[in-house]
Amino acid sequence: MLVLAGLIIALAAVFVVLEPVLRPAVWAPDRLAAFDDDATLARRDTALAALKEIEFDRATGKLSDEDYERLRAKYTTEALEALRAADAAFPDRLTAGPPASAADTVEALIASARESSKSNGRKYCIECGSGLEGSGRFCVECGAATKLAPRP
Amino acid sequence: MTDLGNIALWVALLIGCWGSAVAFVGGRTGRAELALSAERAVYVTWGLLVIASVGLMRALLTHDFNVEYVASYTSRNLPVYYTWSAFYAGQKGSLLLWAIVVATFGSAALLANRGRYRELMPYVAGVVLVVVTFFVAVMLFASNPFERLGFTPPDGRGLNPQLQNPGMTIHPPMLYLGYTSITIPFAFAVAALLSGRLDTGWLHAIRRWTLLSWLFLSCGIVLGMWWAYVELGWGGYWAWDPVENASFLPWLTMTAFLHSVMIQEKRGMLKRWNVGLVVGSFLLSIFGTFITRSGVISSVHSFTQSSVGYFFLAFLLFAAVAGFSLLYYRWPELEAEAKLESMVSREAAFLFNNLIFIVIAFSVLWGTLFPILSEWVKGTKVTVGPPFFNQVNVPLGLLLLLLTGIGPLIAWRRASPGNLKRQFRWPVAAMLLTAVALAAARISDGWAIAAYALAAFVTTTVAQEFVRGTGARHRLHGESIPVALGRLIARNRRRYGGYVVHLGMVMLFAGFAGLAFKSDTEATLKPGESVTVRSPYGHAYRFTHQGVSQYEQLNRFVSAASMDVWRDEKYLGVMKSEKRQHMDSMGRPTFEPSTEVAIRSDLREDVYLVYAGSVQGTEEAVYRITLNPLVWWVWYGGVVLVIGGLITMWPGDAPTAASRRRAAPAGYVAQVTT
Amino acid sequence: MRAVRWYGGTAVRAAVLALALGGRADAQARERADAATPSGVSQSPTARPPARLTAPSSTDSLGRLYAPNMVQSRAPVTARDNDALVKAIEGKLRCTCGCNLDVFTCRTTDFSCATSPAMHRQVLARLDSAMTPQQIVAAFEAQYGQAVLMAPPKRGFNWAAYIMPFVGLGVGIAIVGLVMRRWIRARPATLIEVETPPPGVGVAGQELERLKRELERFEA
Repeated sequence: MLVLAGLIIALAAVFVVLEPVLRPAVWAPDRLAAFDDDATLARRDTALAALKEIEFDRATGKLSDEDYERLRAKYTTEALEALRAADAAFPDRLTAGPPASAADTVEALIASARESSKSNGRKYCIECGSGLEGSGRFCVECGAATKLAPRP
Repeated sequence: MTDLGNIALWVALLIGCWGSAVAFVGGRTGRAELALSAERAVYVTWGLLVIASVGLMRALLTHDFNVEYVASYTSRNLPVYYTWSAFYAGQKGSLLLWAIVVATFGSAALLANRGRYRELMPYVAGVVLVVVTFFVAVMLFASNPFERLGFTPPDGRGLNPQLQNPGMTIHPPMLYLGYTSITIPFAFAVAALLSGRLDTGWLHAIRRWTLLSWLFLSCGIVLGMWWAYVELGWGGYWAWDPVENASFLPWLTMTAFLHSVMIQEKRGMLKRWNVGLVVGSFLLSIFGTFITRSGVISSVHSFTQSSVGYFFLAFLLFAAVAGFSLLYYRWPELEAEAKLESMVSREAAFLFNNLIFIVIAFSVLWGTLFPILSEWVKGTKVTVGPPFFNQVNVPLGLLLLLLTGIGPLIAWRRASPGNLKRQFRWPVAAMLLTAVALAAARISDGWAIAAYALAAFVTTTVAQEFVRGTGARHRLHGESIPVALGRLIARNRRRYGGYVVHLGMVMLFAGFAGLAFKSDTEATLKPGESVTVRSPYGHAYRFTHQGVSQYEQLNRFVSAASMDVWRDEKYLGVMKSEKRQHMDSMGRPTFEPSTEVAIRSDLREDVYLVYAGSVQGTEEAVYRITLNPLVWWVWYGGVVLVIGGLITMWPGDAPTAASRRRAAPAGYVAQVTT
Repeated sequence: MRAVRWYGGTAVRAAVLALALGGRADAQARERADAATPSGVSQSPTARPPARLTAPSSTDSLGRLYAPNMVQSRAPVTARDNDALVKAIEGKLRCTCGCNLDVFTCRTTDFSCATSPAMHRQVLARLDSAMTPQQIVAAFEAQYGQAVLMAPPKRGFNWAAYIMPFVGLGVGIAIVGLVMRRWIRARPATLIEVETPPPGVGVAGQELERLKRELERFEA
């Protein structure tokens, strides 16, 4: 009984592990796909993060205005370079989202369609395009005043 | 069922060997079927270890005393929940726990990253399998939990009474979770080195796992301190014992990593250093196991000394050589995108912070190993105990606390004198004020004054960060103050969670510094007699001995000594400290009588009462009364630390990923139109 | 007087031990204890710790424990057990029973250890023979070797233990300082170059617009 149970366990384990090797045809599709992150995108993100950060640091008083201006000039240049590089690397995605598989794209399209049909009365920020929440007088994402009429 | 467990272990060994070989070959050649086979090997090994664990668990719960492990650590009258904890009370069981936890984390990491990091994952699976297989091999060849005795004893030896404590049921698993989960960042680091995929991608994966194991390790360490405090009865919680040090070492290097990884993310610097820290943390966790198991260094925690230690030493050397030669091999590709702008910048502060962490780790390691060194070099045996570690680490710890306060105040990239003044004004004022106030209160201990002054400094720093951050959001985005505060934390969980962790550390330091004012008094009292003890705050505590009552309870015979306690003539209540003589199911005493401490805790100080024994078997009792200031802050500091850690790693997208998702629709449209 | 009290303590302890080992009835043990203690110190109120406030209410109504050997037997505490100097000396000495604790902690925590009370008595005896604390610690070291000290004495090779962490700190600071200087030196060329283009000049307005959009989407 025990021997039988042990044998079953052993065989099952060996089968599960060896199956991909024994039947490679089923499992051979290109599974080692490209890395989903890329140095160019990372560089763009770093530059954008740097810009955001100095803005916040100035607001919290960690950076003098003078330093801020100089650093902003510098990182703006860097960020633009990084953006151009990202465009060059991914010419098909001008706003440089993450490289997405076709399935993801379709899904995203469906999702966005569903989103828009579901929330017909929803307002969007004219500055950055994100959906408005709460009182809707300011955009929660970018902070822009939305010039909506005050609520009745 | 136990034999089935044994079979499962052998099958796991087989699968593990196959899987680790196939994983590396698969990663190297890029053959998907081999990589998949390796991935499945991880899941299968996990399943097999579950079977083995269930087998051991069943043996424990059904009192199968024919199994040596069960006979050694349990008895028939051991409560069920402690029978559960007997799983890891001994060496053999804890090896099994270690193996299954690594396998669990490994499987989780593979599942969580399915379809991502495709070039890394085969190697990750490979490293996890090598580690798990090593543990399985140690069990099978040196320390098998399913080993049987030639006879069946009627009852087991029972669990050490000191392990029969609620703290003991959670503290070791937490520590194991912390120790073992370091394997995952290590596996990712090795994978990145092997595959040459050294850009920031792997860092994202590694960071979360490091944070997770850091969190478990922190929990484990604090719970261990708590257990030592409530159970061992010496009135302290940290003794710089080699085993405690062993858990502290990887914690230090991981904390250093969690700081320096920010520089790599933001600035592309310190790549080599970060990889080195991850590899080092893993090695230190194996080193800790080696110390615990081998008995090379004497320690209160030592498991029975055995040859198992040398397996670990061999594995440690192997992992060290492999890890560091890989690092050397990829050295040129880990070139920093060097961009340091000023010595007075956040980056520089981080560098110094890392330096202090490493120096503390070094001094702890050095002190732990010094007895061995001394015996080698001079042939003299020495003891390196708490006086040494306190002397060396208190200054270093305070330096670290200082940097904890300074770091967040300095801007990234470069700081100008003007804004330095603006940033440092309040924290420095708070620090000086505290120092002066404490000196005026005639606190004699200079280190304690320094600790509290720095604690005030860091607290003000953190408060100022929150206030100014909220203010900035309020101004920039026009949010109301509470909303701004909430969003501030939610939008930047890592930064503000980190500040909460800093607050927890401040509380811990405040508690540690309180130890300088601990007082012990011994007293012999007949029923009705009193003793008065003065606390460091000037309170007079009066204790009146009521008597000793004796009764049987569960698996033990209890002698409980009670005292009425007054503080400044205000009645506080009864405190009851016990002696417990544990019995086996035949009513024979096992082990020495152990002590249950009575503790009354508040914000200011703990009253810690120990019933030491009786004079000539009468109700005349000998007590040790310890007044322990600020211990409460250690436990709650630990809680705050964990809360901060949880904020930091709260699930949800990392900010950049979220922003990319928002950025995505435009990109998709572009893609579809082309 | 001091010495007498100490011997008295031992005698009581011996009696107590005999009792604990399941020996004769307690009356007998008490007799032996009293015999060995001429002044009857263990019973007299003066030998009690000064901390004690109230006098024993009734000396002979002391309850016997129902199961005395379920509890460790202890000698009554004397004032000297609480002496700060004694505690300080014992804090420097390691109990040789293998517990890894110092003598004070061991004798007030592990109530089954026979070694630490013995070492405690040894400390008291040496204090009585007018030795200074330094001499006492030195005497223990001569008797048991360096391992009896809780921290290695600061002399000879042992200095390495104390100094190395700070040497490490110094070397670390030097290395970090040097590395940072090298990094900063590698910097200026790019810095100057960056200073020249003010934002917006030489960059298409359209591109700047786009950067602004990217920034707004980017949360970091």
